[in-house]
Amino acid sequence: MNAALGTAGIVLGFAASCLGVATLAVGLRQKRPRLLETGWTYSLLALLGAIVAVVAMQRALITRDFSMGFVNDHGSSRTPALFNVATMWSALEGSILLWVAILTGYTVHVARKFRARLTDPLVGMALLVMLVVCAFFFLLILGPANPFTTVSVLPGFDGPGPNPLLQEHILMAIHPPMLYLGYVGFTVPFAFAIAALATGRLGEGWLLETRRATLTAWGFLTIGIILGAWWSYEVLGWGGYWGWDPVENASLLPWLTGTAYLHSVLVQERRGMLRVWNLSLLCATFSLTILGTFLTRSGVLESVHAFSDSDIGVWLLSFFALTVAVTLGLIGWRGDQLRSPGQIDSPLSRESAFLVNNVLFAAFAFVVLLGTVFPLIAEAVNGRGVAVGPPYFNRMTVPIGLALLFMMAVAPVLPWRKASTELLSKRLFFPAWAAAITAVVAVALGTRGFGTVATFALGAFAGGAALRQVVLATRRQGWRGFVGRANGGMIVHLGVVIIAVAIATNGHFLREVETSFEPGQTLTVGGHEITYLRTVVVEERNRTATKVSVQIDGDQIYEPALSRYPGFGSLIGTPSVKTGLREDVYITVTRLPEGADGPVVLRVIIQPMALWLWVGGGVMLLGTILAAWPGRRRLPTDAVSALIPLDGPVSAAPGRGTE
Amino acid sequence: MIDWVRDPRVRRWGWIVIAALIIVSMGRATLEAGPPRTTAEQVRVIGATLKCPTCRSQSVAGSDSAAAKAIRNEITQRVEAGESGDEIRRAISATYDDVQLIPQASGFEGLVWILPVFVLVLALAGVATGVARWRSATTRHATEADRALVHEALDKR
Amino acid sequence: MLIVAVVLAVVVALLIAVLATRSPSGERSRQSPLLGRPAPAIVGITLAGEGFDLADYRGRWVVVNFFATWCIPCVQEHPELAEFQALHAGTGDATLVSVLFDNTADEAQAFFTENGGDWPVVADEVGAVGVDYGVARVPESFLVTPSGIVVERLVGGVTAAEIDELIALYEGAPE
Repeated sequence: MNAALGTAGIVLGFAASCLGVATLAVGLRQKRPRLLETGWTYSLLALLGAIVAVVAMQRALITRDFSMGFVNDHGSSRTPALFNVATMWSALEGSILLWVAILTGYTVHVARKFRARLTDPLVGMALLVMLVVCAFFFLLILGPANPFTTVSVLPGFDGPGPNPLLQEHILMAIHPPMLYLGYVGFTVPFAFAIAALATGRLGEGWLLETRRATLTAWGFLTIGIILGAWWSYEVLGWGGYWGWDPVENASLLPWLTGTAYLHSVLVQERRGMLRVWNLSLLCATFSLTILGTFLTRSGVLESVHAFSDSDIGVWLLSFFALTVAVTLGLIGWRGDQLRSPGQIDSPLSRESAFLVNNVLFAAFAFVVLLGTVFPLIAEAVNGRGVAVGPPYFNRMTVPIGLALLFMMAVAPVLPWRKASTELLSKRLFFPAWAAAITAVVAVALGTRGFGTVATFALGAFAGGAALRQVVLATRRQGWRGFVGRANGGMIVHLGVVIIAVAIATNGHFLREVETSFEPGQTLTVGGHEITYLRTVVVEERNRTATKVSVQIDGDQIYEPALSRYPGFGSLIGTPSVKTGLREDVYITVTRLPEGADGPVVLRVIIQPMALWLWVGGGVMLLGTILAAWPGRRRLPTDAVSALIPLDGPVSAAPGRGTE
Repeated sequence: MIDWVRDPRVRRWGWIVIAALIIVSMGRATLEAGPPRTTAEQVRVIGATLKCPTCRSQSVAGSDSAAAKAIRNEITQRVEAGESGDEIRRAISATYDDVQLIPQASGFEGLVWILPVFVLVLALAGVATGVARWRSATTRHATEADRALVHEALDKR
Repeated sequence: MLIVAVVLAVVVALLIAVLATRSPSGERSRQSPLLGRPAPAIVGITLAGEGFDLADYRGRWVVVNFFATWCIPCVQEHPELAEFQALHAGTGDATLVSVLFDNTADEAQAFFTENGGDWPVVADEVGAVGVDYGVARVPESFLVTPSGIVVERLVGGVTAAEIDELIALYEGAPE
């Protein structure tokens, strides 16, 4: 019943997408507005199909309909309600379903937003591209990733439940949808980029249309990545938040190219330059989401998160190849129309700074991509695998990150077109003092190591520059000094600075002790008193947890645990974290006591500033919301750049510069 | 802004002091960053460069799996016996396949180190020539029609 | 710009070709740098309290089995190991030694008392022997020739028949 309903939904969605693609294609070709207007109907039907499928899936999960393949494989009557809902995205088939649901949602959003302009070829083409992507993902569900298979079950059968690691923390219910909202959201600007190329409307129009959609997708992706890091910190128990794992890299890659785009698009808006580059960045961002899904879902790479694999790889790889081929073909075809009318006046200008920023982001993305696929390349060439791990990524990306921090300080104070060193020396004076004092204080307090101190100093530099911009903007515009793209962007920068400082502090001051505790014994680890109280075995609905009660600083009780989930062999360790503003105390159980009063071995990690990683993420989210806030429209006569000093005294022009 | 900053001479001296402070403190931070002091720190540093054989992509330092624990013990023993990081890494990879998390700097594996630098240099060179070309491009002059547009817009204000 | 596009297309095409021809990562195992090399020494105290030295077993095939009582496939393969040992106890042409992996002697003692098995079991609290053999995930077994060379690494549970077959294979082939 549920399986049939789900299949019906998918078939409906697939048919609607395909018909929509065909109708829009004919409409565009023969210039028939009536046909183009049906784009709205087809996108609604596709969404309806996806909703039916999701409802069928959730219904099957909630009623524990084990006759449906997906529930049989991943459902269980023991799974608590919240995780039962989240079971949908705990495995490949369900996550593709989530993907398709979000994608059709975005498609309807685009159709609704442009409902008055559906007959515009640009919009029609964009909708067509989105429906092609919808059709592909519906096809995946019909083909290699079908959750709606039927199996015969014996009475009394109970499934294994979702992967235990996914049942450990509430973040698992939020992190994947956020990440997918980000991933899939980039389909919207991608579709408009392809539409602009295909229709030849290569001006800045499509950029402005998709500005907020791009920012929204980026915001969701950012939050998704940070929640993912938080989840691994709270659940995986190895004491870290980022391991340069293929899945993490796959989410970081589109974020890097997307961030590059958010910056370089400003250059195109203001100066009409970098058209090819911006189109390429958007297409790269979209292709990288597909490639990332391939890398993590096809099983070619090992990963902590590769919770499932199937023969979906060929499909995703073909789609990736198609995307790249179409994009490159279109850009090559439109090549001469993409010549930019603008020009760069001076190497010392906002636009040059954005160029350097983009080179750095592109290099960052290249390092991450190369490091991720290099083991496979080496195996193909040498016949021998190579592991490329965190030490490689850290060594390569830290210099790029430091350079980006530096650019983050300099770029916002640079005016468009041209700046003088005098101007820079004036505007950067206070941020530079902040950097110098930070460096001196950090070294005086005993911090050593180039990378760490440089991060602190450059963080203060970039933070100072961002604060300066915010202060100036609010002084001039009041509360409006917080909203709008430029001002919101500065808040995002502050969030990035917080995260950068937290990463450096955490990496440098992390202390770790693995030690044995007798019952009742108190040991002082890293300035914290840790008392081992007792070990209790708790039978819960979905697991048998052996919880070790520990008191930290004579305060609250914390319970790191080792749990066994029926149907899964190995023990799953759950850390327990005492969160603090200055540092977290992170405890995992390494060895359980043998008898009732035997010693327990605990691993205690003092994690400095871990909380600030998530706080920084929150600040980035806040900044993104402020940046997307509907602001005052710029008048066409507003000056877009600082006045260039002429010979002689500057006339008393109204202060409408970027300052 | 505060008045004295507006004086270019004051600012120049200010920048010299900033540069001096940063050079001195960064120099100290770099030069005094000694090698790891305790055995546990050394084990962590070495363990971070070795892949835990059972985990998917965690390092020996980060994993609680049985194999990682055993390898950590082995590293501890060897560190205490005075072996260097490279010696220990070689010894461990003599029995475990593919445990090195850092690719070698030579041979085909060296590409993973060289390629990004190569690409970065190429990209920066491309940007530099691009900027140079854009700058030398002939400047456009506003036509009468452009001026009319501007006047029209200004009148609307 | 055309050149850039062509270069990019070629690079992506190569990347796709590489990715398309990779086999799933799960199929890469059973390899070990130890194969064809002398077996690392195992010297220790058995559960029975006797001294054990692998070198004493030259001239016989030795199956070095790494196991832990908390590991389910290890528990499952136990009867097979017992059968293998029983089969060869009389002929004396092959023997079995188990090495504990992340397991205490007490736990193993309890397990053997309950499930039987009279072959030497070497305690290895810190896992040094395991690391010498490159043990990743128990159960893992290594087949050592009478001349003391490691010839096979068996990942996962083994059966008596499987080991016998392998021994027969190697005995048939000139060493």
